[in-house]
Amino acid sequence: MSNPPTNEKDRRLEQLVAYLDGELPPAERALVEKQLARDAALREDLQGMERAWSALDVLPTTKVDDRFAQTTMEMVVGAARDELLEKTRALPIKRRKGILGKALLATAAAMLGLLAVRLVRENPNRRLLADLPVIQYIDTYTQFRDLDFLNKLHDQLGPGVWVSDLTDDALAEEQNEFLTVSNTANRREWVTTLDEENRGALLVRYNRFVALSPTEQARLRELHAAVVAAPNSADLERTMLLYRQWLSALPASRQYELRDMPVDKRVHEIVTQQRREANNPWIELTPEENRRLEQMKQSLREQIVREMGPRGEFGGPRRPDRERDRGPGFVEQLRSYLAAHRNEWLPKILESLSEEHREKFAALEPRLQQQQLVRWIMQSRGRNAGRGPFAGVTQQDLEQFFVDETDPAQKERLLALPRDQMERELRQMYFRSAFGEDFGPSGGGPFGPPPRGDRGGRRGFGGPRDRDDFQRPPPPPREEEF
Amino acid sequence: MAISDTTALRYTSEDPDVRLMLRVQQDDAGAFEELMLRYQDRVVSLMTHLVGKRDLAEDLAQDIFLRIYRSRKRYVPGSKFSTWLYTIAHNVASNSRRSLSRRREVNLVGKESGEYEGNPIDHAALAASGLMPTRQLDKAELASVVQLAIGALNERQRMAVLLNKFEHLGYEEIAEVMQLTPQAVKSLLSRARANLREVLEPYLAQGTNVPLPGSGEGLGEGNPNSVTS
Repeated sequence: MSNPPTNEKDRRLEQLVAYLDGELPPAERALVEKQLARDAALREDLQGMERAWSALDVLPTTKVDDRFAQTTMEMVVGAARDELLEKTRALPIKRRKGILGKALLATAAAMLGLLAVRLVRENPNRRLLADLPVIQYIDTYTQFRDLDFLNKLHDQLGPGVWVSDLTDDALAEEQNEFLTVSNTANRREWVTTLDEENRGALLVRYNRFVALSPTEQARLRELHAAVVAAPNSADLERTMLLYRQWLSALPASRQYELRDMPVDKRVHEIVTQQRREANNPWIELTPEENRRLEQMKQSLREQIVREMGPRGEFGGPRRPDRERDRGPGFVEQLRSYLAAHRNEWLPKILESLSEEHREKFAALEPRLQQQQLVRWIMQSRGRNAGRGPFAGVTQQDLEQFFVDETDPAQKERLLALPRDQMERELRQMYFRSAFGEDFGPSGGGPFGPPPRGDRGGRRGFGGPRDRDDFQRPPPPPREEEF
Repeated sequence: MAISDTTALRYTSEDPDVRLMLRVQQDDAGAFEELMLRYQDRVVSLMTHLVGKRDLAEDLAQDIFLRIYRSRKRYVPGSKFSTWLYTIAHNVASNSRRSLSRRREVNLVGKESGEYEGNPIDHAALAASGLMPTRQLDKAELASVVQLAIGALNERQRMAVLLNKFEHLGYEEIAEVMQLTPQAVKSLLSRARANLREVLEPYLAQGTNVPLPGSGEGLGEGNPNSVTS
């Protein structure tokens, strides 16, 4: 079928359009270009044609949603099922039972099975929403098998004994979140309000969940249902959230160890640690005391930098060479400095405290007083900001440390983490760099509070929430699943 | 027409989508899913521009993917996968139009632009002139005018324009999809472009500074096959 040009005008138009489309052979193309060079009207035609063609770029493009893929796959599953039925019907009854029939059935059934799996995957949000509480709290639910553990923990520790970095407000917020996530009606909205980082962390948990066996998934669902339905659910939820917070500060190896203990032994272990922590001798500062101490700290910073050089917490942990890592740590120097200048600084620091705390401080033995001073200095900003004991270091310090002190592999690993976890780990590295390898969170090192030494662990890198080394590694996240 | 082994081999080695389709042929559901995800937006876009209604376009697009799945055992790689897919899309769109016409429920773009008699291009130009701005057009307004212009093309012109402009198919590929000769496609596209110009030119002359996506001053860079003067 061909449509020869009806007249010269049509022929000229076709040549021009084909020229614009790059569809002319070289000889004809050259001819058109010659004509264009000498014919202003033709050039005008060409430009008009091109303008109109370019205007089509404003037409909107279409993006289909999950529903489209979902329903299309459903249709395809239906088609595969029909094919299977048709083929089996076409076989004589005897042969249906024969090898060929079985093979055919197996092939078609495999296709159907695969498609069914695709169907589930096609709408991962549906699965995410259905299992959201278990996914969100997977790190905790995988730590115990039944309510017996939570009940015993609650019975022994009760509401008052827990030593936690969670403030009352933060705990209330956590409880609210737990209730929100537990309520089916709120889940979708809750997920949509997550920021990029939390969404990423949720994705990691989701992938951990889908990597579990169906039996384990079912167990976790039942466990959550039991917590929510328990007569003392509010107590259990609170205990679980406090336990979760406490657990998240443990190194993975310690979590592993705890998880493998029989329930009674584990509860005993946790309770013992908690009681030790509750009885620690350290004096926790009020926000006002912290504020005053901050001012003191500024003066102290300037003084120490003048006398010790820009090292340690006040100047950042950067060192000119690695030899310094093997020399006396910054804390050691700080302790020496404070000891040497005790009479100069101690009265000023004590002025920052309330009378009650001054008396408590005075009651400490000198060695503990010295440790307490260092601890206040290290923690004041962090406690004030409610961000845990390692928040004394500024964001700038951390960024500088990241740039200067971490190697490419560490950078890569840190950047792959959710932001809060990355910051936590970076902070740990920063302090380890400053204090040596013995330093651990919450006092694994020489200046940490003794009661929480075990808790902090020697190399604790934060909690298990986003760590997978105590679970089998999750599959790589599928971005499109969210 | 039988497809030679050499041709099949060439397309298999050159086109990754052909290789995916050959996996679909072996009942690989994952490959089908991947093909669908690759093409679903493009197919729905094409059908939307063709039929003018998003929900109908999605239904037709699903029909296209279903046909691809059902045809998998008969598939022979005689062209690029996209060419084969758009051939199916063309057939589905044509069948749909015929079916809708029979039921007197035609809702294609041309019809939606209003009841009219006579030359649709004249009608579109007239309708468009009623929207003629006395100020610079914004993108949404221009899109309405362009949709009007596209809707005024006949079905074959519209299909040829959409395949050429948005799917970047050459004349030979369009000819294969629409079962025409390349010369017929050349004529079809030249008339389509003249028609588009007739409707759009007054707007573009009026609002020469209309910002068009991907074009420095708004004009001239949209089509990779085009030659700027």
